Amino acid sequence: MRDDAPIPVYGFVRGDTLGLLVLVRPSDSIATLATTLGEAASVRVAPTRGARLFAGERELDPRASVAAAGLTPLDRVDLVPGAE
Amino acid sequence: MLLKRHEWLDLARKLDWQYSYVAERDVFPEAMSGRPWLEHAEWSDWDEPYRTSYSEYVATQHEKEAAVHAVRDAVGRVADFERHDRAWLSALKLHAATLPLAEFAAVVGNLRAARFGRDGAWRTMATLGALDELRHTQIPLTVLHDLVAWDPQFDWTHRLFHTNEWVAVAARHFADELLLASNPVEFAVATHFVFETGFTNLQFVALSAVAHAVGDRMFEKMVQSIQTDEARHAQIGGPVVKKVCEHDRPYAQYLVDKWFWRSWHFFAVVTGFAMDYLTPLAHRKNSFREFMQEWVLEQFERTLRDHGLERPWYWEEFERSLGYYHHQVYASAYSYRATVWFDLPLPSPEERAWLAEKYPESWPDFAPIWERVSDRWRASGPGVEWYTHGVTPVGFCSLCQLVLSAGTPRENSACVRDHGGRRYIFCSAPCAWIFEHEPERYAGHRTIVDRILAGEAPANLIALVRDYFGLNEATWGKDSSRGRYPWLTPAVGSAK
Repeated sequence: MRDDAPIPVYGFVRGDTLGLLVLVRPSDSIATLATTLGEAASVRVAPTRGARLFAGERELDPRASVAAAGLTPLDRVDLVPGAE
Repeated sequence: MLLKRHEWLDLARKLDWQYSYVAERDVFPEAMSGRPWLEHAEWSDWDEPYRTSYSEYVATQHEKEAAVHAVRDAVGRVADFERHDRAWLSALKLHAATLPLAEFAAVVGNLRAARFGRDGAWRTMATLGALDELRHTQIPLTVLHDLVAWDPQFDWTHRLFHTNEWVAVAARHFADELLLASNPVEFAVATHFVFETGFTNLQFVALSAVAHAVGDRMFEKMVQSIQTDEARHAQIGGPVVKKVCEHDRPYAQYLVDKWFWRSWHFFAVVTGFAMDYLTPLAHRKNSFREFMQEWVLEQFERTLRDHGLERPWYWEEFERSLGYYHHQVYASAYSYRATVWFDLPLPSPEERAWLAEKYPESWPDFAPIWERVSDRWRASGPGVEWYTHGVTPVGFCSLCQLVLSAGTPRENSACVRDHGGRRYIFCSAPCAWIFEHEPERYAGHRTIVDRILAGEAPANLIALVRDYFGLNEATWGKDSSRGRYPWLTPAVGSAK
């Protein structure tokens, strides 16, 4: 279980005004991380379906795990809301 | 026969002598006096235009003190403050907390220059500057902390710098380096030339005009009185910059580039909030950006040119941020208002229209955010603060210690860097650049996030606010109207 301890990542939602610190388990999916981040910013930015998550220029596969996506503690990820 | 003033003045205010028992370098070591280290002969033409004697200083200051106290007696009572708009009271609380103890730190910076400044005239002016800054500590504490019995948020007039609240952490990071840790050369360039000449001296003129328009005669008088001191001791900056430019122009340029950005972020939060959000709409004349362009940029660019210095390398980014940065931080602070010590108003439709007119290229990015917040107020009804309040911890810049709110809502400019086996995040390229130039100075500092991850500060927001920031339900920030805005009702909204 220790290997699956939550890690903090910096999340930025396009359209939002600040960076957030979200905790995610390495076994969680990228889709879960995207949902967590979208909800964290939902006071200011309405969550949308089909949002995509990026690490730098690289789009992350929503079905991949956080570990498989290569995310490490205090990485930056960016959520780009889908069109609704 | 009495000497005439001009016959004794320089003996009193510009006194230097040859050292016969010690070397000049031992009297003024570079570590304490700053660089470039030059023989005193190089500094002997140092002078400033005010050429004030101590007795003249005391006489003038006595008159200014009497005037401030007279205004306070006349219009500085609780009943006078009760008449003000609640948003304006928040502007007062913001200035009340950030001003006096930073000014007290400036006493130390001036006193270091009063001992280690390289010319007698510089040391004399720094001595008067220290007395000025002591006064700038005492006036806001006297006038505004006294209101604590009426409104407990005014307790933060004295309390802010003694807490680990996030604005306090950022303010200390800025003020400690600027005012407590800098040698007299860096202090003169950073504080007198950049911060005072470039920003606050003109800001105080504008702020007193705003206070006048609002009808706050007490704050108007306080700021005016402080500004006249600042205008005098800020004159230390120019001749020091001139000398540094003569001997080490790249160093002068570096100090200007570093401190303009650091000052800008701090200034944008305090003054940007006050001008564009906390001044009642009916009394706003210029936007914060217009003020910056007309009062700060033009004169500061001219001053740089006069010294043969360039605009800071990030000037384009800076000019773009005039339309974004304080809006980003304000929206962030509003949605985390329990983490600060003053209330924040939700911009009304009329205020948003004004902001859209003043910021046509950037406001379209912010309008949806305020519509979203308004919709949540409509859904919750008044009084339910937490439905329009974030709960997730936010990130802070490893350099300026402010929230990661630089860039634009479409493209936040935060960047991650690794140094010495540790990961850092910076809100902007200039903050990363400052860190990378002097990592030994900054690498050991920990942001609020670092403290949370180390287990020193709680991650739970309520616990963080209560136990680590030192706020409580009586003092933490709320919506200025507790969500009771006539224009928020569905009937008014649908009528529009």
